[in-house]
Amino acid sequence: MVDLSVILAGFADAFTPINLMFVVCGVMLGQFVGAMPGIGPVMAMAIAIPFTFVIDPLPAIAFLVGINKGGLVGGAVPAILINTPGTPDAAATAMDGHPLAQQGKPEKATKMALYSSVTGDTFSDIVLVTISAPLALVALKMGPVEILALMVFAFSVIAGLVGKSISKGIIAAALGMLAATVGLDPEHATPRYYFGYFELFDGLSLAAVAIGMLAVAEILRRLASSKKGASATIDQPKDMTAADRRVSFAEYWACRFTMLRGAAIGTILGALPGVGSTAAAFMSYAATKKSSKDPDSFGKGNLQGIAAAESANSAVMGANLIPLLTLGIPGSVGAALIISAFVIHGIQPGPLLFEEQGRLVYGLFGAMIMANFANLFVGQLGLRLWSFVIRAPESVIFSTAILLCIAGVYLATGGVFGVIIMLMAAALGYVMTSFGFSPVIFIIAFFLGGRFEIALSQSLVLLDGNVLALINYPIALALFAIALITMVWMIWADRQKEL
Amino acid sequence: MTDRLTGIAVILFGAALFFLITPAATETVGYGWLRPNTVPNVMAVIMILAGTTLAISTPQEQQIDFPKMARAAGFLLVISIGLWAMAQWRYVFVAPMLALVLMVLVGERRWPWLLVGAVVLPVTISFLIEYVLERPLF
Repeated sequence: MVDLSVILAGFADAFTPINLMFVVCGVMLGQFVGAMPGIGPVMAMAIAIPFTFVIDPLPAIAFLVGINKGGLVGGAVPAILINTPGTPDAAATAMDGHPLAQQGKPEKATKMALYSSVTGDTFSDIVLVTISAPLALVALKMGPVEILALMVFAFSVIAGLVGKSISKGIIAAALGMLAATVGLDPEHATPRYYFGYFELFDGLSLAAVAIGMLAVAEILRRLASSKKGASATIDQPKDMTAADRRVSFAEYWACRFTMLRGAAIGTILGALPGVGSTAAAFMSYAATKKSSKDPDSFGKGNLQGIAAAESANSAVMGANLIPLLTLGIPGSVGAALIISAFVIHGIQPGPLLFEEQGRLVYGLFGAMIMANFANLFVGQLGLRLWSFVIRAPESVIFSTAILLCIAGVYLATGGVFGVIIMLMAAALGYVMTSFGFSPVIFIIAFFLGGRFEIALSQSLVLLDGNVLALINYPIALALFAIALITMVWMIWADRQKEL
Repeated sequence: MTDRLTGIAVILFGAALFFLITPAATETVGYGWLRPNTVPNVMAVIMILAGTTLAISTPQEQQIDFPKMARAAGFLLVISIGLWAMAQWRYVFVAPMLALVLMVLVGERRWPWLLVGAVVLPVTISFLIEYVLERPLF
């Protein structure tokens, strides 16, 4: 078990002025980019990772966590004001947020989104802090065979749940795993798929692939569909009363059960790999509407609808870190980016993290709690400002984002070759998205691919190549069985959907 | 129909990977449980099976906007040329030009925004990286 002194030292590391500054900067950047439809926190995190090389691991990761948390709040702004969610998670927020804005209460709607987002986020952070260390202890008892089985289970869930078709999910995962095999193989250290380029001996750079697929591919999509001088137009009513501008304590308190349910849904779904915050937001919204005494008021500017969606989508973020910190398995693309920041800073996520870097982990928890407060304060001051930010023309935003991606990947990989890989990954990401394949699955499989191969190699040695020897590993056997059942069930559900 | 063609393309890619690419791009090793080509070959087989499923299942509605894809390819070409130019001349000189070309291509004609996007922001990025972070850039 982690020492109390380590926990306290970790929190003490977090609550320093320099960390606070990075958290606040991250939250501000996150809210800013979250407010811009088309960029979002994932793209911002992908672009920001290479720039965090020059700072210590804790402020670097705190900065990225700040971006992620800020982005969840910022994403609600365009959803409410112009009915265009800044992030997919905020789509459910628009259902009641935009009608409320149309009634002349845009500030009330954005503030309700802010308060419920911070509430949901704090709830899931408390769950994360409470259960991750005990879970890591359980995870420590797992050997290569169990870890392999767990990864197979994670792949089966992610391939089935992310995207519209399980076949496409499996193909995307296989492509990601294939991309991870570039470089030296783990058992014999012989080069694979290097095609004469010695830069590929170390494999494809995670930063280059992630930035290419998540940021550059999306920028290309936006550039290709942007209209001349496009920018959002918002009509801010001038005759708003004080009651229209704020959320009273009574209004907040009336939504407490809605937020609690949303936070619980978000936390549970967030802990499962691949489900995502968009699903959590819609599930929470549907559950709230179903249990409401006045379901007809939903979709017409009901504060409960905003609270349900925002508390759930924000609760996913903290819970996403549960499988990441305890097992080293990222449940979402945001978590995959945070894990890549860990790796870049020489930290290996997984159950040993609590033993070897316990202070850093609790520092991260402290930073997450700070980020929630920062979200609240920055949001109070900044929400009005972000509503103006979304008027900036796309031409400026995306051309600058491209320059940042090029510079960032150049810094991360130390040369032009990495930037070329980024552009190739962008092309692949664009084509995959256009044909309905999820780049998110690709990235997660790409990230886990190397570890999967090592676990497979170790497992084969332990089992002496005899699959029947799995009988000696009941947990692994159970996980393989659950993975198989999950796959069969998802294929069946997929077929039912087609018929 | 698109899904069927995509499925066939995936099958062909998987087959090419299994029979042509992997044998040529991996080394033959005669010992150990996990050979260098084991995982790539397993992935190729998975792709062939999943591609077959995709090709024979009821196709879902998949709208592909080919003109938009061509525009995106055009932008990628411009960025690639920009990258080549950065490698020849420096980032600080080429980045403003690349930003200007991209902005003009998407139809931006308002000179204050062109000034911000093509001069202020690229120079700021370059200054931040090279002088504040003290990292070499192109």
